[in-house]
Amino acid sequence: MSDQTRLIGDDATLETITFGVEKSGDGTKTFDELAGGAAASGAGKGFWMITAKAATSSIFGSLSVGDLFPADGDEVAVVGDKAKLLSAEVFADCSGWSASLSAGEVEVSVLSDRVKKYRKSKADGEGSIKGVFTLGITTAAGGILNQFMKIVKKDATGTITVSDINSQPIYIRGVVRNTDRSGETYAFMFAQIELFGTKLGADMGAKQEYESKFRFIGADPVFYEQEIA
Amino acid sequence: MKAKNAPDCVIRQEYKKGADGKKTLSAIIYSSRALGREEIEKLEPQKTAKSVREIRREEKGDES
Repeated sequence: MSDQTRLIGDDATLETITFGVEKSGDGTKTFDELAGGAAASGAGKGFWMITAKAATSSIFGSLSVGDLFPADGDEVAVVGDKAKLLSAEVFADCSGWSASLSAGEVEVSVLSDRVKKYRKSKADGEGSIKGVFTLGITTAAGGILNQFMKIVKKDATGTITVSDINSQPIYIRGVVRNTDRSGETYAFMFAQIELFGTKLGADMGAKQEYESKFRFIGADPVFYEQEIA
Repeated sequence: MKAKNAPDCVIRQEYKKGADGKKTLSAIIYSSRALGREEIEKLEPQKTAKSVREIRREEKGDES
């Protein structure tokens, strides 16, 4: 029977994603070997973003370029298959996140209809990330604040670090069920997003919080579930 | 209509491990709840690609 756990907020987490160097299949090397490890080392176990597919017999099957391939590490990519291994880092200052999708309603009624008829148009998606403003995390290079303003830091040794406004693409793994226990199901939404806000400041007697709206960009968001072996 | 093209198509990919411990894609199986059928893409000799039409023809005993 499939995992039918009723999820709660504590099951969730949010991660930022970076990608390794693109690796090309050769019909003999496993993903473990493509990741730089030995065969059966587990180095290639994880999610790979598909960047190219062989015209025939692709190890990715029906998955598309831009989708994630959940690898055990022992699969062999054929010539023409290319992918990048994901690295995930927990959004350490995040206290909550949400994403919602709603489709447009296009009325297509005609005179002979007694009840109006509608067709579903494209879905529009947006979300938000809430967090507790945390020095060194919210203010890290590439962090939420750095999406909107330049950050200058001077450490105790006198070194000054300037982080210009970050404009790198942002990929997230919105995890609704975070687990690595055998038999349980790890589940998340993978998406590329643009952030549209942050907040600084404080109210007396309350934590310093921010909330950042996001929208989707790039490939359409996809939801993944993986039963832990 | 083939299950592959049905609006409710579900695709299942199966992998098999060889004697060398390496996994390869062994079958892609398309199914449709509406059609109630599975179609297996010919990726390995043991599995036969069958279209819904072929399966129905066999059920009716029409081998033509």
